[in-house]
Amino acid sequence: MIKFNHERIKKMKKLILMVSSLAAAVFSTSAANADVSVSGSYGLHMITGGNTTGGDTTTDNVSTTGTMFLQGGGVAFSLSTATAGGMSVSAGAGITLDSNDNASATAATGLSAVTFAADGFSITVGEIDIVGGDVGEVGNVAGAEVDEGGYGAGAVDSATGIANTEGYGFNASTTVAGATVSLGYLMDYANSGINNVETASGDYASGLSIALPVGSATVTLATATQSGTLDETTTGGTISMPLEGMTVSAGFQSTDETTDSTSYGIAISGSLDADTSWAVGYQSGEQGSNSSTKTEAKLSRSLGGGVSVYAELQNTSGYTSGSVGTNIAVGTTVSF
Amino acid sequence: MLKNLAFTTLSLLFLVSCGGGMIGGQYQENLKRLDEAHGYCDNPVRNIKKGSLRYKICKDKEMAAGADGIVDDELNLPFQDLLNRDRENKGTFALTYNRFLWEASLDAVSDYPLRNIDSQGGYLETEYIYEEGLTDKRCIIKIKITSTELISTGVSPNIICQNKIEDGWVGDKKPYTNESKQLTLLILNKANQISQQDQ
Repeated sequence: MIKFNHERIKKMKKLILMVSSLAAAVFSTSAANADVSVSGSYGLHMITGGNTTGGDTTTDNVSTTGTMFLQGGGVAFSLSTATAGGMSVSAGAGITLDSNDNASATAATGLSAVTFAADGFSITVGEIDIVGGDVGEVGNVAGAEVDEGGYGAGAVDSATGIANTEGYGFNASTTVAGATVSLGYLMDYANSGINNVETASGDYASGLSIALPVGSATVTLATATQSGTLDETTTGGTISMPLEGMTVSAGFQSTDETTDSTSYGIAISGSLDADTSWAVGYQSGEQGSNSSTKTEAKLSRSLGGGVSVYAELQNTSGYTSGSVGTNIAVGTTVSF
Repeated sequence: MLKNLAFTTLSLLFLVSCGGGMIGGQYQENLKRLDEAHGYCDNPVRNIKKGSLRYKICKDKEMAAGADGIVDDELNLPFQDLLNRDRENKGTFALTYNRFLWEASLDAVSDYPLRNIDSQGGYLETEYIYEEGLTDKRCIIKIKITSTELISTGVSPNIICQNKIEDGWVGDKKPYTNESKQLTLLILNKANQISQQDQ
């Protein structure tokens, strides 16, 4: 017969008391007081496709099926502090040479948004992406580098919700009865400045997102609308759930615009071992009489020391103003 | 519209500051759940602007950490353990759970015989545990590893106890929430120690 060992239980209780504070320290995510931290990353990529979009842009060489080599990186400064009451305030700035687009100069970025957060809410004010603007687009699992291959996705890439999702405004989120509710408002999506706004701009957008747990799944429903130069409204949802060690997601989006569009996608991701991750995604879009599909696959491997390597594939089919085909990107990124 | 949204936002923040569980409760737990559903960098509630420098660095960190979320100090050749699996790791298979949490769970119940071990699914279950001099009560511990990463929500222990009533055993219907939390902390601490020793 199996017995409880009282001495062991006493020792275990003492150990639990000791480890409680240790575990809290190890797994705590609370912000440190008045902290300025520096991080960075660098990427080196090789991309092939139908018409790589960078490199020599002179007329005689602009159409090329050659292989594109692309590299870039950035240094980010994170500024944060916390009040005695536990509210954190954070902002960020950086210096970057674009690592996934053709660029001719380095740039300074950031300092255009500030976030106030506490245990029960978060609000970001400044240059933002509106809540709900890209709901349902789960099939885009690859990074931005593979897009440089040049084969287009046509209707998939145009059926992406409201046209203007960026601008000056605020996003706020909290929970209501266990559901995470986020709402956002752009006071000017066509603003020329990024550190100010004029409330009578006439180009407004708003968004609302509700994410709630349903069993082991997470369901998100969202809508975003813009008014002014263009009146558009998008509505959609996603469902994501763990399944046999993988994560499976599906999403749908419908947009009421000059030529209405719909889009749906599915994605599956998982790991081969502790350092190797994979993901496969499929996105289908339709706008008016045009439709197209995009299938993406990604395999990445962490090598240790902040270094990782990856391979991405993107295949497009259906209507596009360019041509459809397969873009491939391989490369390495280093996190500092 | 702007006034309505501003009023709604301020009202929500006011309710949050009042500490009501209805508003603002479980926010951090929900954030972590959305991190698992979308990935940390793509969690829409975290407001990491797509295409921004912060987003790129976040994604690069995510790739550097790998599936288990831990950045190994030592640099290894690409895919060497996959390519050399037959030679060096014969019989190794891809784990669908975090091995540190698994080893820590085994250690936590090492004093008790195990009735069920699913080493592929990350599940274990002890035999019924009896207390000396207490013949009318018995308990069982079930532990499920739910994540490939070493995170605080990656282990889910469950303690079930029964009372002997006449000649049959009947569940006592107590949740044993605190005991489960203590067991979780013990496993997390042990897992953290194992991961540090492993590096």
